Amino acid sequence: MSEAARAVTCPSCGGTVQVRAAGFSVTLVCEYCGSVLDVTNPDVALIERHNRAAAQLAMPLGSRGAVLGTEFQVVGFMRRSINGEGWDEYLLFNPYVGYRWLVEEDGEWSFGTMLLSLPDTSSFPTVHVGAAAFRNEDQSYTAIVDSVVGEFYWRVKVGDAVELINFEGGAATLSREGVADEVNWTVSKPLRRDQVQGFEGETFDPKAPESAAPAAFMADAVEPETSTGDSLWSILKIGGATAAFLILIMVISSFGGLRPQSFQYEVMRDGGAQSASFGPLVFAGGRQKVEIKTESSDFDNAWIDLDISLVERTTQATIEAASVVEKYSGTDSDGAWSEGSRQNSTKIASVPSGTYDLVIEASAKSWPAPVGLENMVPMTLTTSVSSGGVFASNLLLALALLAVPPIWMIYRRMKAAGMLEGDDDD
Amino acid sequence: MMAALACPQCGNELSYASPALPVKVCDRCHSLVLRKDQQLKRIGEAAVLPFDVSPVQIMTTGRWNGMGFTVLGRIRWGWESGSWNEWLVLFDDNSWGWLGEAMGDFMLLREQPLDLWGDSSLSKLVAGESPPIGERVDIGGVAYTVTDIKQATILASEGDLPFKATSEWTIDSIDFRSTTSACASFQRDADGASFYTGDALSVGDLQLKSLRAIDGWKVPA
Repeated sequence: MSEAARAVTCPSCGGTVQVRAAGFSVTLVCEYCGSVLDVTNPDVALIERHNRAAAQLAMPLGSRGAVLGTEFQVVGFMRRSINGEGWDEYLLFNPYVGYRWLVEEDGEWSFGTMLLSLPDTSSFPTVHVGAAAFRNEDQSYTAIVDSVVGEFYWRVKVGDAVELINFEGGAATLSREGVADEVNWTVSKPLRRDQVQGFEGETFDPKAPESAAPAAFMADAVEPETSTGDSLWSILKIGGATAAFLILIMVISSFGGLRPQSFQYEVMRDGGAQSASFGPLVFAGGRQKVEIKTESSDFDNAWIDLDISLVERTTQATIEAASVVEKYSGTDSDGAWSEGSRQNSTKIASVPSGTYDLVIEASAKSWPAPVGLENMVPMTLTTSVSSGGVFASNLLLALALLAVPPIWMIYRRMKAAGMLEGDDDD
Repeated sequence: MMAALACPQCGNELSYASPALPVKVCDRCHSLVLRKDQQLKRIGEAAVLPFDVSPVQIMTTGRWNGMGFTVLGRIRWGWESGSWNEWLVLFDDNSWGWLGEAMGDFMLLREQPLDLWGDSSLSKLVAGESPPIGERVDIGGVAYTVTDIKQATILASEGDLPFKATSEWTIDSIDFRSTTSACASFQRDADGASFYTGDALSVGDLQLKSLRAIDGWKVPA
């Protein structure tokens, strides 16, 4: 399908560049050579010639995805900084929705919408947008455009500076950006990474599964079945019906519970406590056991303290649990030693059905305690939540026991038929 | 009321939606055709609209504040650093207004008599003064702030229009916003001035139907 884009030829490098928000876009920074073009008029004019290498963007220009379930296309990208501390801003566009900003700073995502009305600044440093209050507790900064590519509805180029003042209102931030006599107000709200989907290519299928990662629970459940050779099935009738029944129970109980979900996040080693929130986790079908497993690959001589809360969205009822992941190793007079494990799990016996957020406060500490901050490195943690009326491990054990008699019979028959000459370990 | 007449230039059938909208841009030959006393007269030619990805098109309908409207015409204005659309809308009560569209957002505006409130601030605008951006201006009991001042020229037009909109027309345009959705726009040229008030809205506020289909995008239901 052809896209609703106007194709223009860059007067600097000759590249064909798409204008995806035709009619709105004013400036286009060529994705091939970095030249700044004026696309206001049908005749594209060169404003500033450059010969820069193409920028490598995590979310390429033209890529499509969804933020909070609404489809957008990346039309522009800016990297801006304050005193050398930078962040990335993607300008998103959907002709039926308008423009939005997707901002990433140090792995934290937020979603910005420009205000249509003006905040009430009469009680500065508190300002109001409708009933919402935002408070400024910080100085103003000069934000500089360090790099820019794509199309924008205003004139933009590298080196542009704006005066930036932030106002905090709970989780949301109101930003005032002023340059000369022009002022823009934007409200940004934090996003979890799973609220941003796609943005990998020029097409996006919102129905496609978000993650191809198989649900561990289900995979385990299916394994005994798939590892059984076709030729053996005819002999496996004994116990087969029972196994199928057990698998059915497992599948039903997992529907009643929660498909296992994994969340990945980072915690700075020796960087103090950091918290992260994930969800929604929907537990249906009455009270159930919940297992929360946390692991981190490739670390040593550290422990990770985890305060885990399941917070029900409607009632705010909170179930708390704690877990420690620790792993140490070293060498002493007896030789090399190692203790602990890079994973640990916590089980909560009875969680009422409901829609929950998983809130994790994690801190990672080196042992022995570091001198200075040389260990301040990020550690990637993965926390998986699974639930169900029956734990998979119990069912797998039952399946294994059920499999003993038929396997013994198969073994006897094959041996009698002389099929196992020198092939015992099949 | 829809009266059908033939374009004096190309013979294309032109229908006029309201006596308040006597000018029509022929969608075949782009002639500006004025209707007067059931007679049609060619009074100029409109430039062809540049390609854009506006979700609005002629015959798009919408609703705001309990009042339905239908989009019948458009003027595309250009200024030094960009351009925007002013869609002519006919409200269900047969009055007309403008749906301004810029940066993906909208302003739904109705013209107000310049002497309606007797505000001195409005008289100063009419007299040719331009308050600086950021200045507070009270008009009709609403505390506005000047947010935008630009000189604009008509680039192109289409459909039904209340006046002759040709490319030689240049205006001063001053936009006002407030701490609520209330907004206003003042336009001034050598021949006079006009003042519009209304609401600043996002596309989702307007309950738009019969939106333009844009390749590669799913038209919202």
